[in-house]
Amino acid sequence: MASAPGEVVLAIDSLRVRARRRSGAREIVRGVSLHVDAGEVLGIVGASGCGKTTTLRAAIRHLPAGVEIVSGTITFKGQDVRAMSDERLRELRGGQIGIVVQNPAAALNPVKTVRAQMLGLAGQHGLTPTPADLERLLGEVGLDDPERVLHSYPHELSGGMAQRVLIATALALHPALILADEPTSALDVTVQAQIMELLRRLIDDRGLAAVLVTHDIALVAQYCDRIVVMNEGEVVEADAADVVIRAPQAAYTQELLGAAEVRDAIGTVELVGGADG
Amino acid sequence: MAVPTLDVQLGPAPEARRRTRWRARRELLGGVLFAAIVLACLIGPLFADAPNTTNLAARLAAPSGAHWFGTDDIGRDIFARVLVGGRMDLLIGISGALVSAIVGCTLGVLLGAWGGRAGEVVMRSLDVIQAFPLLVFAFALLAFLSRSVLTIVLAVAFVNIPIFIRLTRTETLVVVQLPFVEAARCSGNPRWRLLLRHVLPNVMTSSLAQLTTTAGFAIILTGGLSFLGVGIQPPTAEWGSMVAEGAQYLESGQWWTAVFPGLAIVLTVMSIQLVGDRFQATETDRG
Amino acid sequence: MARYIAFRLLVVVPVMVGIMVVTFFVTHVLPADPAVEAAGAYPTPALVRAARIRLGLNHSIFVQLWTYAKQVVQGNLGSSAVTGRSVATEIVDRLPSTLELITLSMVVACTLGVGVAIIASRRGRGIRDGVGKVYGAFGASVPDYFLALLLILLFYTALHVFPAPLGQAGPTAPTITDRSGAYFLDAILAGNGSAVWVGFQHLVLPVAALGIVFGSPIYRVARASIESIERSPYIDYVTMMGGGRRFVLGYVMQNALPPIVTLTGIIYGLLLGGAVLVETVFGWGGVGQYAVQAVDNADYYAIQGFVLMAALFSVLVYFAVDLLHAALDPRVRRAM
Repeated sequence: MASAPGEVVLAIDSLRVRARRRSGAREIVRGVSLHVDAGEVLGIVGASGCGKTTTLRAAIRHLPAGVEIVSGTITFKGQDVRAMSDERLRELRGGQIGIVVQNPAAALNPVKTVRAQMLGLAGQHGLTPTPADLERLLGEVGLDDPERVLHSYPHELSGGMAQRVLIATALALHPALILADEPTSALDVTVQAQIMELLRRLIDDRGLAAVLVTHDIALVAQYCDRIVVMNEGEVVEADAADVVIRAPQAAYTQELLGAAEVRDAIGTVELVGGADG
Repeated sequence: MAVPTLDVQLGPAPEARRRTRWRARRELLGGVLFAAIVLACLIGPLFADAPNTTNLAARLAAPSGAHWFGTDDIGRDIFARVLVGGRMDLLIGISGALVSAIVGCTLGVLLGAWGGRAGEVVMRSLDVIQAFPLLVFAFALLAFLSRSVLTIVLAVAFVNIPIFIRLTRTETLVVVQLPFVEAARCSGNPRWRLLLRHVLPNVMTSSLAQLTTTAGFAIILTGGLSFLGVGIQPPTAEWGSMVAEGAQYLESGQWWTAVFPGLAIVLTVMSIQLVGDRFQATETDRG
Repeated sequence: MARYIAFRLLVVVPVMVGIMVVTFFVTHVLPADPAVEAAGAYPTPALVRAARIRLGLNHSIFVQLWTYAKQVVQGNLGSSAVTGRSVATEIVDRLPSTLELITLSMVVACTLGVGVAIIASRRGRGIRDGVGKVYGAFGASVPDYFLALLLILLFYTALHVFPAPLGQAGPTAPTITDRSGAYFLDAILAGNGSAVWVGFQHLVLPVAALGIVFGSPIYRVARASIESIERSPYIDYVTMMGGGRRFVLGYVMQNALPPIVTLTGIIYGLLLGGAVLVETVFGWGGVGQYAVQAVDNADYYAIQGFVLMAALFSVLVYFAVDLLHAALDPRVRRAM
């Protein structure tokens, strides 16, 4: 369900996540705080291994064996995620927080049709969309032949098509928040822009909140309202997108923006929520 | 619950750590047990009663201080016979597995390196052969040959060769296609030298694991053959034939005649398997 | 799809022909002489010569092969050198009881193997994991004939829960019309309640012995397959999207089944002859025992008949396995 405008949808405060290794434990998220409001897209950017994906997964308590939350609070629309029962957590996942992953084709069950999977997940949340509903949704995400896609198997879809299916699946469950982890990294360059445009439009139209995690600073510059920069488990900078891009405070952010090509590219791009909006 | 993947460098999780410790303990236990069994079978008979001394007065006696495993239908001490029988089973099992490994690996490597299309045909025929119950196969072999320890070893070895061929051929095929092998070949190295230096070491590990499995299977197969009457002939002691002879007394309650030799089979094969785990690649291979 | 089925059925014929030819030659080069066996207890040269002619062994081997091939096509598998009866009849008589035994055993083996694998693969439960490991080691170490004997010892001799191992129904069983040769099946067909109960009681122990032993390799493969699939990205995704435990298990199983199905097919095909030891322990009178006796008596036609039938059985089972693979995985269907 969409939230009231301006409502704080997800709030993470002083999150610490530890990974246990043979040589001892190591904190991979060290006191990260951030929040996302309804109707805004938050970008988390940083190099591989900086803890951005871990933070995202911690928000739905889906961490691998040996990785655990040590301290901190995670609140979704005022509810304490860490204290939730397993059943409540299951309802939260998908039903209120939708996921878009990096490798969309691999995220689909290879032996079931798109239709079966979408209906299956919807059923897990007590929803009963008709095939017509699903076709309409697939059309909204930009698929040309929704009926054919609905009856297709994952191996019959291209990367871009699969990502659109994932987005449609997320939306079919009527979440309030979308968490996107490198949604375009595995796609062709031309398709990347299309998918990002699509995501931004759908989020705006529905008044959703979203978190976009990526290593690509040009992406967050172009599509996010606010940006959080992470390095080695810590937040080094967090501000409105145009501020972070045009006037970065932290040395690390400046490093990220360092490549002249990037800065030039960004300079020519219209920023979301920039000086005008 | 699913295990999500992260782009974070993680060591093995604490659960995985615990498993490795347990696993090392299991393998050690297997090794110790196996060594104990071998030792018992080799040296034990020197101290125990003679296995072939009959004593009709004490036939089918239950286990007691005098006869730890009881006596069989003509009064022979079962404990002694189990120890002596172990020599036979270990001999047949291990040598049978070794022969089939040596022949199978050699053939497999040859097929993999020089087989080509013919290799595929051979594999398909092996499929057909392997589809046939090994027991009946071995039985047929032995029914037509004279029954001696040697022929039994050969029969047991013969039915297990296909597995080793398949295993080593697959490994060889993979290795000869690796870039560095191509490079070595281009610079003039004869293929046989490549095989010796690169293929053999890789093939060894999986073959060793298979060897222990085969040895265990060979022991069970030998017992099965004795059950059908083509294995070791009485009065020679061998676990499988002891089980077969003792089976008829189970219904009347003299369980020790069949149970002790049977347990010997189980313990020995299990310890061999545990030792073989040493060479298994991952935990989940063995379940 | 229909084309694929037709193609596979066509391939069966040359495979069977190949097997027949090979078996023929193999049995004929073996040292034993069926003429001697067939000549009776005191084989004088005259009797042996007569037996040779009677069995058609005086012709060249190729003539013999051709004669045999013609016969087989007409459904005649020759006559047993020992009993003189038609081999085909003798095999068909014994086939149903073995089929009944091994089919039920495979059902038990699969249920046990897959069930234990599902239970044992839940992480963090030490005991369940341990049980799984024990079961995995168990099946590879315990011979089926020994387990059969232990079960008899425990449940018949000691506890008197199940009847004596005297075949499918024992000497005191109610008589029923022998429609298929498998007592339990016939009892069901005849609707005879007490006979069904008797047949069932006699089936429990042999099925348990085979099922438990052969469930172990199925468990190992199932466990490995399930754990491998559980690490897949799509399982990860569907869990993150709120899939419940049973829902996720359904996703896992459909993807984990193929190697399990393959192994089940292999074992099922093997068991036709491979169940002979358990059959012997329980006096079952099945087809494996027939084969063993045939080899013992150098009964050529009986041996060949058995091999052909076992091969046909395996081929049909593998065919069914391939169809199952196609049903489970659309990518396989596409490749056909």
